[in-house]
Amino acid sequence: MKGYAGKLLRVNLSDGKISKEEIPESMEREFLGGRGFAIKLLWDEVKKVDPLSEKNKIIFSTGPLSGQLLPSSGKMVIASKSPLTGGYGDGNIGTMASVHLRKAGYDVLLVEGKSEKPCYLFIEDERAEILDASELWGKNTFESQDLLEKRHGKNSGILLIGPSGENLIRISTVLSQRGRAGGRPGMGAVMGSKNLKAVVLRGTGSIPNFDDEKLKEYAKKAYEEIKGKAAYPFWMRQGTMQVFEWCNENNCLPTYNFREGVFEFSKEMDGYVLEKLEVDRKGCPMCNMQCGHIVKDIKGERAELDYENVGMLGPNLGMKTLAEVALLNRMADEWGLDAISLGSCIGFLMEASEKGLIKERISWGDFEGTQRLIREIGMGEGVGALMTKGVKSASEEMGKDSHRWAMHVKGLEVSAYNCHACPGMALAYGTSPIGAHHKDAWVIAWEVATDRFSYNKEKVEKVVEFQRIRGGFFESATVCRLPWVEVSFGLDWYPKFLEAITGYHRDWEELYRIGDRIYALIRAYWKREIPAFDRSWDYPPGRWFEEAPSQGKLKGIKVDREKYDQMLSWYYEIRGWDQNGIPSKETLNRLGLGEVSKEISL
Amino acid sequence: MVEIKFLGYLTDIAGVRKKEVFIESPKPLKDILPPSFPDKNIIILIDGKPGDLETFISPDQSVTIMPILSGG
Ligand code: SF4
Repeated sequence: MKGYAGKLLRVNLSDGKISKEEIPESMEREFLGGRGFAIKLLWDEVKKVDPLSEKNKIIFSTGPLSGQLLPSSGKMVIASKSPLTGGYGDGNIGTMASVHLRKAGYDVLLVEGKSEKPCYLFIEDERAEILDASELWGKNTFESQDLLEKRHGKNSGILLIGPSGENLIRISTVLSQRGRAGGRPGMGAVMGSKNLKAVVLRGTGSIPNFDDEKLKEYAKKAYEEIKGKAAYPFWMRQGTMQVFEWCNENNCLPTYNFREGVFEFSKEMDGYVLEKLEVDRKGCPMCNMQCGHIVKDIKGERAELDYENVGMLGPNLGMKTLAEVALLNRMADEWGLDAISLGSCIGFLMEASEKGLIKERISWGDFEGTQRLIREIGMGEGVGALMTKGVKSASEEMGKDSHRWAMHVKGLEVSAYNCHACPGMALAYGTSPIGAHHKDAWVIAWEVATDRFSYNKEKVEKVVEFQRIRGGFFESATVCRLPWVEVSFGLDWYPKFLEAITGYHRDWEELYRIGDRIYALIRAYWKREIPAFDRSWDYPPGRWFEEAPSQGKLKGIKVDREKYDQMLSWYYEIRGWDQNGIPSKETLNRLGLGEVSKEISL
Repeated sequence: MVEIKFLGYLTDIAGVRKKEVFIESPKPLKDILPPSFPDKNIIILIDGKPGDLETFISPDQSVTIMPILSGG
């Protein structure tokens, strides 16, 4: 199909074999790209393997919209069987690697096997080589980026891991361009397990689109439309950091390991403080809504901030200033640790210390102690050894009811929204296909706008609708979802872009169906890989049901377990899944996934 | 006195983050906001409860108006 290179580059690090394969047109039609391609490949090729063994594979996947001259299109999906959760794992990342992969003539790069020695991949159009990375191994992501840029050019697309990924710490992510990160469920550890330090991409070709003239015309209008939006100037000043004040106002800021939803030092680290500290701004390729705000941290180093990281390393740990949080965030990026999971792990340790469950003394807001913990977690040493597999595993090891306040779903740490008084958002976390991440359905704004305390079916329908658009379409197209809501960029643009690129008209109804197919296959994947998988995996942490916050306007409110359960049943019903959250035979048949049912014994 | 708090880009439209408006009797919210104020994709909470631009505001109420966002 036009708009795709139609090619997958397969690199086997065990035997050094590199091959080009055709991507069947049926896969483009049925799975669109990005996340869709990733789950299809994992379903077909990665069965019942140890995620950190050479049998696992890591997929760098783009969609028809990725890397195009279109708003916020410089994204790609990195996916694998997750070593953090044991199920499907992915994340999107804004990177020049997306543009270069497409221009080099591939939609997907798949890496399998394991190199004997540290290596990195260098791909330049037709040329692909596995190169020695001994000089890079052990270096942090900033130093490694510098070195690779020196070697291969500043504009290369570079994806890399830090020392924590090398050390197989399961909350390690993949970094690019000194601060862009993606692949929360341990994608950095998967690269580390293959001795793969980095992927460097350079492409000089062009993407074979159906109608480039039309696309150019659309792009010009679309970029202008975004710039003209009323919300645009404020977005450019604060980006996602405006969410900080929003969450504090709505009592959903993650505070003290999600015990509270409001923070007494919020005025020291909200978007207005960011505006004062900002020294530079960065963004993903092709984006005119750059949202990477660079500040000088407390030691004067540059650190890129966004809301999630600040929420999890700030109020969640009781830090008092944004400059301190910036330093912690910079450390997370240097080590290649996912800042969200890291904030959750440290919050968990602080609470364990307060409760006397660990020997170490680390109190809320202990800035020096937190820096030490980051190093220990990155190395997997000292008390950090407890956190190498995330909070779920740490709580299992610790016992003493700590699972009630280990903030995760399916093993992935909850990102920066406290849901004691947001049952719809709790459901969005519960049913997210990778574990507790917000990218699939940020229903919280809609529920605050309507009736945040209700547990009705309409709310559940909204979760599904957002998942279809965000987790289904945006993750597979693959482009950034932020222009849509943050500056009200019209959704009706996307079928037009797709038509100009591929030559086929697909309306939102069809795009929803593709999203449903992807979700059903991801569900089946969880079931196949974890036979014990059932509805209990779709519950948010006990804390939201059991312990209400003690501060703020909404103190005393918590999620009602029975009513949550009812919402979950409605959710399954709408999706055509059984009461254990497994797609029924009829649903799989309807979505053209009939073959799948055999492997999950339906 | 009605206290109105604005969040996000709505501060650009209102020109302030917070203001107090004196009204003698209940009035629809839209009558005490700038005429250019958006009517879509916003969240209006009146004493913490969802409302809209047509909702009547009494002199002692507090209003928070914020944009619909989609997360970090
Ligand atoms: S809005 Fe932000 S995250 Fe999205 S593409 Fe632009 S810079 Fe990247």
